[in-house]
Amino acid sequence: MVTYTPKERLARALTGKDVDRMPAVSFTQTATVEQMEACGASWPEANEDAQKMATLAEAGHKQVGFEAVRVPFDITAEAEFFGCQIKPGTKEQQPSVVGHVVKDMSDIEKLREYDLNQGRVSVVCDAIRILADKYGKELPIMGSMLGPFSLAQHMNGDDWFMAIMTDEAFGMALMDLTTEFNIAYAKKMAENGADTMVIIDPTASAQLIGDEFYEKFVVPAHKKIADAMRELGVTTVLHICGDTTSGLELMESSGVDAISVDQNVDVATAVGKVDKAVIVGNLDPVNVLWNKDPELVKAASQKVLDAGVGVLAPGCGIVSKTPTKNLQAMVEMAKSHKY
Amino acid sequence: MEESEIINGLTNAVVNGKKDQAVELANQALAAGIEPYMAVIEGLAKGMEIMGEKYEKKQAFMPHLLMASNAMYGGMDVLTPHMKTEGGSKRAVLVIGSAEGDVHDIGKNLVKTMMSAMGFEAIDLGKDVPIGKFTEAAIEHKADVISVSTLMTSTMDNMEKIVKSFTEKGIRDKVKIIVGGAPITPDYAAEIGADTSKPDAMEAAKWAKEIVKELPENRWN
Ligand code: B12
Ligand SMILES: [Zn+2]
Repeated sequence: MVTYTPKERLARALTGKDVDRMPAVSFTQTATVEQMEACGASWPEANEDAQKMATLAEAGHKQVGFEAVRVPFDITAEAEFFGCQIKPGTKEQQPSVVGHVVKDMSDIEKLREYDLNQGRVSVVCDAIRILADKYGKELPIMGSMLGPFSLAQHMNGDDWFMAIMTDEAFGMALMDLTTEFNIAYAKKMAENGADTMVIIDPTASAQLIGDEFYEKFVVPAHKKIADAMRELGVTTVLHICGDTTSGLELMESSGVDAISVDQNVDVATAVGKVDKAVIVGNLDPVNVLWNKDPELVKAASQKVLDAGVGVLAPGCGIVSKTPTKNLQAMVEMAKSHKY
Repeated sequence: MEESEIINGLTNAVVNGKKDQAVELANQALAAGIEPYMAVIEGLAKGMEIMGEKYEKKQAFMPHLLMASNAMYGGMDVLTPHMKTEGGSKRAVLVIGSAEGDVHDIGKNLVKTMMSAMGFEAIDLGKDVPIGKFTEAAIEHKADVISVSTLMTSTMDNMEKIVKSFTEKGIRDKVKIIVGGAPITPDYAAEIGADTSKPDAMEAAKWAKEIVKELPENRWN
């Protein structure tokens, strides 16, 4: 029987090719307090320092057993890059975006020139380089970034939801800016060794904006990113929070390889709705992975596997207080699953 | 224009998210001598209620909802200054915010909108509000209802701390506290000593409107 390296296995599984068994990975953030204590690299420092970031990402592989390494752990570096005010995180909590920088067209023009060698986006690329040098032959190297719609929302604030309705030219211009940035940033991550790109676009939830706006503003942007990545041989995973069931066909139309769904989505229904895209997810990070025990994690995993999931994984970012043994239970279930 | 035409116009202006129209009709309502409170409740608030229902049924989405609430506030800015003086009694005061550590505020804003539609004067503390701010604002504004939102499990603890802070300051019985957000259940509300939780903004506003009647008038003096 053929066996694959974890790197080959994930790439094959995400593109619908045959594999010996299911890969055991998380497409969403992996860091936990237990891992921080075991490896000596903790939030918030591990969000700012490339070596610490790499060390904490590595803990996901060494302590938990994930067959991949993944950075970063939060989704604020992109908005921070453009000057949005950030509330710092703690050891248990990720930083968050609290200030906005774009009010009108002229603000967009001012942000067109930027240097990706600055700020935390460059730290992330450095961490990817460190991980790729060490594990690049064996393990998938996952980079993740906030998607263009959510980035636009961070930059513009809540007015964004109205702007897409009342001022299409402005909405499109801001989407162009964020999409161009996403492509450049993703390419830079790929140059540094990332082979899998997770696009996290929570605010683009069809539940929030509906199909019409999703199709107009989000699909073309995701498509450009997916196309750019395909050219580089990088697989793409799109994660959007919430009940995305009704939006799955549109999500797939962007051409991403896989769609990561959260616990609000019924996996069997989701699998039935897509054509080629691989559905990944969707263990509840709070009510299962954090607050249950390994036995119950296994039972919940079995349900998701029985529903026909492409890759078993957390439904959204892992909560920092999640016990390692619960994550290990999920890893074990994935590893022992044959398609 | 007929009274009913103006009132229906206000409702439609909100449903269609037309702020200019809402402002213009609000002015016409005043000119026509329509009771401002009526124009708000029967006109503007009704529009917001319709949009809330459409959102639940996935017939409307955030952009439509925010446009509607924008139009509603436009009309209310015209009408409310006339409500206080004419109505006599003071409007009930709502202190509202998202729990510390939580920057989600879309749902909180909806609750604020619905409560405003029900006639509350809203003191909006925003998102990621330091725990002590709630009691501070409650005392300063002689609040009637306190509304706390959180969408994250990691910040539910802070919700409990907010309720406790009212007990610690000795003002728990002066206010009604409602908590909500996706992970919050009525059981949890009871457990942390809040008065209730409701599944959505409209339910929350209906509850608040009724419950303030239980509060004694001069308790803040
Ligand atoms: C939009 C969104 C964001 C936006 C927020 C923008 C904003 N200005 O609010 C952004 C991108 C900033 C964001 C950030 C994060 N998010 Co977020 N986000 C969402 C999302 C997609 C939608 C939330 C929303 O606005 N819904 C629409 C509104 C109308 O609904 P609602 O708030 O629930 O309100 C309704 C009811 O709950 C109720 N209600 C609300 N408040 C109150 C109050 C009272 C008193 C009452 C009675 C009722 C009530 O009434 C409303 C309906 O009428 C959800 C997933 C989802 N689909 O729900 C995740 C979600 C809430 N986010 C989540 C997470 C984890 C995060 C981040 C930590 C991500 C990260 N790793 O960085 C950060 C948090 C940063 C922080 N410190 O807070 C998780 C929370 C998980 C959990 N259970 O703990 C969710 C559930 C996604 C998931 N599936 O995991 N997010
Ligand atoms: Zn999510």
